[in-house]
Amino acid sequence: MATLLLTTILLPAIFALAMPWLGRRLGPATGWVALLAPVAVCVSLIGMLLNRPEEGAPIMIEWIPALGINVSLLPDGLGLFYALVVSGVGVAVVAYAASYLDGHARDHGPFYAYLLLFMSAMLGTVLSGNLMLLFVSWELTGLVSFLLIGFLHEKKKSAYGARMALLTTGLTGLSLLVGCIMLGQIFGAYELAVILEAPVPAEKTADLAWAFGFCLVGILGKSAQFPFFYWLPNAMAAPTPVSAYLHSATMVKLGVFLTARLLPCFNGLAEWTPVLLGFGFGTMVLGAFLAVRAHDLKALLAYTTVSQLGLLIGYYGLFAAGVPVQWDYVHILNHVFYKAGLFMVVGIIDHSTGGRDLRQLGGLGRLMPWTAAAAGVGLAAMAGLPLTTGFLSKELLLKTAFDFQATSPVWGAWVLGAVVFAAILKVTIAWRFFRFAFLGSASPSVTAHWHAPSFALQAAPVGLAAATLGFGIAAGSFGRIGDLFAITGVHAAPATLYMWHGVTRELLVSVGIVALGMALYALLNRRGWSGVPVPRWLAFDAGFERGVEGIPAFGRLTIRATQADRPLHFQPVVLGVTLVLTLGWCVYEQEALRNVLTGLLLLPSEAYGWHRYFVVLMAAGALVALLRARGWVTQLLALSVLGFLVSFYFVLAKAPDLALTQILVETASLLLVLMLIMRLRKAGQRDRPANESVGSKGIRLILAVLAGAGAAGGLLVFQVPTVAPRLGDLLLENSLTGAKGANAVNTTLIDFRGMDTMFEILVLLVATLGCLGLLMRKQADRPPRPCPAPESADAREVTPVGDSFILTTVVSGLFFVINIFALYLFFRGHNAPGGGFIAGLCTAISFVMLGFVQGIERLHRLLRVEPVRLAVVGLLLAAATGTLPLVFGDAFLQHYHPYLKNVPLLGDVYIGTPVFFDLGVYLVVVGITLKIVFPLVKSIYGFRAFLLDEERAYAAPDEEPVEPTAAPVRPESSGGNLR
Amino acid sequence: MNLTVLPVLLPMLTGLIALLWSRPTAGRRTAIVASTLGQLGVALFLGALSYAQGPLVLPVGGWGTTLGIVLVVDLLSAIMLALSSFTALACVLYACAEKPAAAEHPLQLPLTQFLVVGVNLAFVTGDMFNLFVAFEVMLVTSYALLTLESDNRNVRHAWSYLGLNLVGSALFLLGCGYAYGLFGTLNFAEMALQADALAGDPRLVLLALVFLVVFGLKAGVFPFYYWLPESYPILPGPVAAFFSGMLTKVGVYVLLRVFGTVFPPSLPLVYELLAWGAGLTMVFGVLGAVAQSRVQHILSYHIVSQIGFMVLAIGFHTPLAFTAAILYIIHHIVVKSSLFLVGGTVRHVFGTDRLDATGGLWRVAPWLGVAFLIQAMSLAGLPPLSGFWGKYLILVEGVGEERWVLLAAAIVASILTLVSMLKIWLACFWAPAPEGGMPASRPGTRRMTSVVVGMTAVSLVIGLGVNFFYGVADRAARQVLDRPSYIEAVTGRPAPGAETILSLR
Amino acid sequence: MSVQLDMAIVVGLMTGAAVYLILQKNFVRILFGFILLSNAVNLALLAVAGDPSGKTAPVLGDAVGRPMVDPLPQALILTAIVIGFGVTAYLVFLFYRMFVDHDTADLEELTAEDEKGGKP
Repeated sequence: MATLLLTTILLPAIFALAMPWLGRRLGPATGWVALLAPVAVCVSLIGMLLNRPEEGAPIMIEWIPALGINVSLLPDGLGLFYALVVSGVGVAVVAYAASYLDGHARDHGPFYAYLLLFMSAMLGTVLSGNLMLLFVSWELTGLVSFLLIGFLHEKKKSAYGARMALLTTGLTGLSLLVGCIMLGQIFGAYELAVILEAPVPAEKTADLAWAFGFCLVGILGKSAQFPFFYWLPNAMAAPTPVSAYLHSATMVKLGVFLTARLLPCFNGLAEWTPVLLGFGFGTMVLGAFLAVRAHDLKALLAYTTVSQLGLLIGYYGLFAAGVPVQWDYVHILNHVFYKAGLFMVVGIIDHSTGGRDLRQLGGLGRLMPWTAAAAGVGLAAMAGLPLTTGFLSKELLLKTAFDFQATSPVWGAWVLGAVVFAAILKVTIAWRFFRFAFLGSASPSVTAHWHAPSFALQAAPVGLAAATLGFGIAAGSFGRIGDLFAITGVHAAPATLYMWHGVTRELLVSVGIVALGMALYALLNRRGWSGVPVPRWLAFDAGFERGVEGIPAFGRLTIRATQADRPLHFQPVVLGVTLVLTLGWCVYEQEALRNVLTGLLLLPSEAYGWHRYFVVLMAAGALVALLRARGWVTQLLALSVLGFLVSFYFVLAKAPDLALTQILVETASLLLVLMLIMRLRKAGQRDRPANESVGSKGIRLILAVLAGAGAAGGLLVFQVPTVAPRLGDLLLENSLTGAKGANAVNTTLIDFRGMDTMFEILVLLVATLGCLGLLMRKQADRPPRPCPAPESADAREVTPVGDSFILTTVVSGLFFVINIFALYLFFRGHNAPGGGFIAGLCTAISFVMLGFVQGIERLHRLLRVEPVRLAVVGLLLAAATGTLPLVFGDAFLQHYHPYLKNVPLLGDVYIGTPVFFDLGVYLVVVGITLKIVFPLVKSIYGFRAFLLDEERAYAAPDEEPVEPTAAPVRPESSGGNLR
Repeated sequence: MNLTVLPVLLPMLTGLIALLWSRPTAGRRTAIVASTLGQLGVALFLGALSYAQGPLVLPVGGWGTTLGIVLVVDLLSAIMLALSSFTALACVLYACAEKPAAAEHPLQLPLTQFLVVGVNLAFVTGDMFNLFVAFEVMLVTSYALLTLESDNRNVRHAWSYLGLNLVGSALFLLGCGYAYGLFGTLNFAEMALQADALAGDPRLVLLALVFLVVFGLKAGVFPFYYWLPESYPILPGPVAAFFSGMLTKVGVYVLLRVFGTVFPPSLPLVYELLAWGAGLTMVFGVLGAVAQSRVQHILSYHIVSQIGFMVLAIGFHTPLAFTAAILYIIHHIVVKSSLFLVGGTVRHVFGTDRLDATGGLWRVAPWLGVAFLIQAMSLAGLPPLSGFWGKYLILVEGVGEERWVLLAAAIVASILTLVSMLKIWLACFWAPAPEGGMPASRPGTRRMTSVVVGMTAVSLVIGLGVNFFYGVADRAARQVLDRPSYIEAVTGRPAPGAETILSLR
Repeated sequence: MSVQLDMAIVVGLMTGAAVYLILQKNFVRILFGFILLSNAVNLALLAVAGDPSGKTAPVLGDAVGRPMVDPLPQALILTAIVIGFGVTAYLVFLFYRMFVDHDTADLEELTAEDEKGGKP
């Protein structure tokens, strides 16, 4: 049973996968292959129905057991009933579609694929025994119906209708999801078997009401009930077979199905009856009212569907009020028969006259008698005339209404009134449909496009009409369907149904209804059916579209409101929020924080040393100069003064390595800044006071002050050491013994935290690559210029500092001195201030100086080695020393400290791996500094930043230098800025 | 456990050697692809190992776990590693499909490898300052990639990205200093120990707030996300895909790590800030997305909105919520980066991704359409696609905790996500082809599409085989939240006193 | 156990000034701001090492046994300085490039092009 049922559900989906492929080969004939799927499903379901195990336990395949979500099936009466409806109507619809989508149509494959996928999703929904599985397939039906509604997506109408349907059902679906989650938390399981059986814990009844509310939204959305009724008429943009299948017989009934499914669980809720009666019968009246005003046949049918669905949902509302609801299947089947048939009829009309506006139709009765007959029966059922299932349905409904009215007068009156009113309107609608479409003389617009429908096309509606009629006459057997699918707890003891049940008040009322209906027809017909189809205050769909179309504008508003499109405001916003958060907390906790500091502040004193406060004053002065001074060069000077103050602080803090590094790096980076400034000045840019409003200036000032306060305050509280010993002390202890180095800072960099250093130099390399990437670029608006031929070496020569003989010799001499010093720094690094980075900077600066006086190209030729490659090799060296230990099974970056014993002259020579690691650092620093400085200089001086082969290594073929290689700047004119 | 260094070492060596190669050739490409495959293998192996035995610890340099830097790979780290290698692989393949080797920018693939280095280092390191270095590698590389192929029009958009991230880096460095001042150590495990000792000290919360800002900025939480939608669209397709997949998720990962493992679970203020910030992020992000009219812009804003969901889960701060966050990350990275690749393909076909200049793809490129539809619906959280499950768990948690307002925000965000995805779908796929008909399908489109389809298949597997991924995410979440075990695994000393919320359940 | 007030003041002043500069529109000033900011942060890290008075540099050679300053923050600062150098270099190049491409050294004029819909 389990596997059979599962395969039955999945069969259409499996067929669907083959459809696109088949469609390309068979074209219109694809449908006949697709027909196999629903037929097979039908057969197997009937088989299951005939030998159904009594109260078979739900079948389960674990999916996410931890969350109680499983693929479990519940083939009880309700499930099988709906499954049979889905597959049975499926047969009719696919057969119909096979002849409806003839040669004119495109994409047969995808169409049937969607249709069959939808079928599987429906079967999954109605047969699932787990609430979450039900929800999953429920949503899948929505997605597939989106594709089906938008099948003719080149038409805006279809696309928008599809979007409206998906969004509405999607939104309500989310509400349903919340409802399901709440049910799961109330009952501790998603298994319907549990939810439907288990009693509701007393303390959870309030939650149950909420859960009902959330589920109800989902139900109303899927079944197009008020206030969500608007999407169904717009979904009529779908091809007619789709409308017949999804929008009358199956998908829109899911809401009704879920109501019945959850009925035992919500039974006993005080809200159940009034809410369902209100929404259900209210929508019934509303739908009928709108249907009367519709001219488009499909819209007309859509509104009657809305009305009928309202009836069905309201009908379940009566349950809690003690009225047996055992005729639900009769009402449902009746609607399935006649409404699906009528949709197909409309499809035929559309297909053979090219129009479906009642005002342009007429005289079709003679042109297509079979269709006319089918339509007649269907409309009779809609109007509830005898001999049709519609008659039975209406009579039963009236009876129920009367019984209910006897028990509860107020609600009963509402139900009775609603039913009667809707019935009257339906008579009017039905007659108008028939009269306008089939009687009278053929209108010119009909004769214009007329081509007769094939019989195959008419077969399905005729068949459905036959069913309507047959079951209408054989009322007894029709009534027994209810018993066949009865589920305990919902359906009362079996009762029999009679076509003729004597002259009862129901019958009399029915007569009255028909009379009034015809009278209303006559009245409206005289008034010429004037008036818009949907009054403004009910045109929810227009409102919905306006809403969806309006969201972007609202979004733009929020973007503007949050300043997310004003790059200039990003930093202020972020800084502001940060400061508010942190400083707010500080203010909130001020006592505690003050207590942290008490007695620890090193206030100015002899012991602590006045000179520190002197430095503070100097720093303040330099800052004022930096902020107030005009002219970039002046500010640059102030900045360098600050830099040196910082290095002075490093000296105070007993950090020689830092002091050295700080000075060197400061020099290098200020050199770069200076070059930028030169370029700007060359273009006539000057440091002019920004013309800005007082407000923005004020904000800036406030932020600056707060940031300063924050940094200072944070520093105060976080300076207080909380734990001892700290990591640094341990490092000191282990530096000599463990890392074989006296300079704890260097050992920390190379040994303890070698990982940091390794990636820090990677950052340097990457930054360099980024810089180089900036020097070449595409032009957005035009293809790249052909690359001009390389200039001669002299033309390309750049000597930023004019070639005075003395300077050249001095620098050349310095070059060697510096590099010997660098070598010295490098080798003492592990035991005394120094090390690879500092040494590398020294060497690099020496090269830069040399390049400036001797000419960059000349230096290039002298060096011969591409600096970036130098850096890469350096990194590889460092990485290699780090990887070496892996060979010996030691940890990554572990260092060894071997000595070359008694080398001549030198004695024992230390050749530990730290040296090679440090060498790697050295090479990287040299390489990247050269590669950063020289191309920038060249580019700024209006030369090509790269040699041609370099260009191929650092830029895409379609890129060109940023600087138009113009006439080179005269060295003396620019050199002045450097001196 | 030297294996833990490979996810960092391999891409670095690959990038360096590719640089020595200098000219892009088919050989260089194959080498990089092969290495990326290897990285993926390593990551998966690490995942299996950490799933079985909990955190894998490597004291770098053999300095024990106190003196030196420690690399720690627990299940969460392994998951993130696998995701980053997977995304990198997809992006490299896509880049190879997009252009012939001759037309490729010689620095693009090496820099992408270095970006992977930074990202992976952030995942494996167990040391705060080393994390800072990892962030710097990541950031500087992303700066370089951002401007590498920018033209003379859009280079300025790099500033929004830099301006904020430079401030963030400075703040992070300051935070490291503060942390060392407070804890006297930088090692996550030791910090966790000290943090327990410091319970109730206002400085603990202050530090937490600083890190909240730093990592919130990286993750793109409201109002710190501004840098993202401004800058991502200027990236070339494959790079954008990797950025969108991984960079912000590094921030989310660190949030999980820092507020799950390092700090004690007693910072209600921080969690509230996270939750409400996340709510705003979801809504503002998706509203921004709906307002856009180009594919890559819409998708960029979506990253923000999705981040909101993950951070919301972190804000709920329960084991189930952490599971949800991790499950969501797994889904998001795959789906998001493949969507960006779809956007890149749209650009490739039409020469632009402006919605009003595109159309007709549903007929011309049905496979691309199927892939986009599945991924978009997954992003919108349609069951049973991968995006649904994380969202579902978050809703469960929200209902359980009765956080109705945030729940409403999540629902609004989901439906608006659907709206904006439909915007792309209607314009690019359903709308009739633009005037002048379809541009002749550019070479490479087919192969690019196949990459996207492959990623879609993966996300389908995540959605349908969710049981497995849920199990993994659940264990990962428990490993993150189980502070005592983490501390013991790293320091080797049992820490029974360490607080954890696992005991609460 | 002591807290250096002067360090806090200097860091505060420098940070404030840096922020003030960063929030301006002119490339060069912004550049100055970021250089200043990294210096300030480095100082802050240094301050966390504690009061150096009475201690010697963390170079063990001759001075084993005497109290020494904490070497770790110094190492961190070294790393930070190096990274800062790389970033500064990149910033200089970026500003240079943005100037060449858009012929302005003012962020306001630069971003103003967005209002004209010059998005990528």
